[in-house]
Amino acid sequence: MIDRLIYDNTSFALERAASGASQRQGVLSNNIANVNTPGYVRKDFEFAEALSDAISSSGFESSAERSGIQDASRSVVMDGSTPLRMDGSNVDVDTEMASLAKNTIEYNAFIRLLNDKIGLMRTAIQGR
Amino acid sequence: MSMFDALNISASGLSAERIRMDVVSANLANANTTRTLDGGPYRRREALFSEVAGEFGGGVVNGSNSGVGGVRVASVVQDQSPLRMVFDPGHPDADANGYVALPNVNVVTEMVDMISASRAYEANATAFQSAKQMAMRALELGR
Repeated sequence: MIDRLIYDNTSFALERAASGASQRQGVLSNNIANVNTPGYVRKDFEFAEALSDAISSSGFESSAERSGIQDASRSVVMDGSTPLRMDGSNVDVDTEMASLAKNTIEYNAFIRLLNDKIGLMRTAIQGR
Repeated sequence: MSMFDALNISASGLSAERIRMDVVSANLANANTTRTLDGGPYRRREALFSEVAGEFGGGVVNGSNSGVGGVRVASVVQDQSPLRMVFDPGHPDADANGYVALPNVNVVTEMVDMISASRAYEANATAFQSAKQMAMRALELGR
């Protein structure tokens, strides 16, 4: 009971989302670090789609379903969709910087929501 | 993937771009050097970048690397393109026909490389900054 109260579905989804955004930050940083590496293919970490699919399909009631979400939200993909440069790399630094900024804002939003969630709990505990 | 991986990856990018900048500086400084430690005129050098395979994301599977681990300078190679021949019979390093072999450094190429390295450095610094800010935000959870 107390477990459900403290670690409910919203907190769990927010935690997974924040963790995904944090890992995506690493992958995007890697693209930027390799902007001058010839032949480098850009990578991305697609957690948002996997996470929302997992949430809508299971509703993660059991711990087994929760660990399923954990697995579903882990995949680094090679992205060959953007045009190649002369040196065989397809990293566009402007796109990467935009994705990075967006990812940072998303992460901050998840953390703020999680914080508000904790605030609600705190209010309930203290009764004021 | 640990909390500081994004920071380490950006740091690897920063140090690689700095090395590229050092190489460009050496090329510009030696644009007219006719005597090197190996003998003969200076040859333009170039930093070769290579991707580092990380464990996060699976690493190298069947020759294709999906892991993320940053970047490193694999080696600094000499440019083997022909040297610049300038007619200057009075020069002590001139050959029998009066031609001096000057380094194959093209100042315009070096300038372009320099700007490219400096912009890439800035991009890495920005990525580092956002990752740092994210880590600081996580520390504020529950405050």
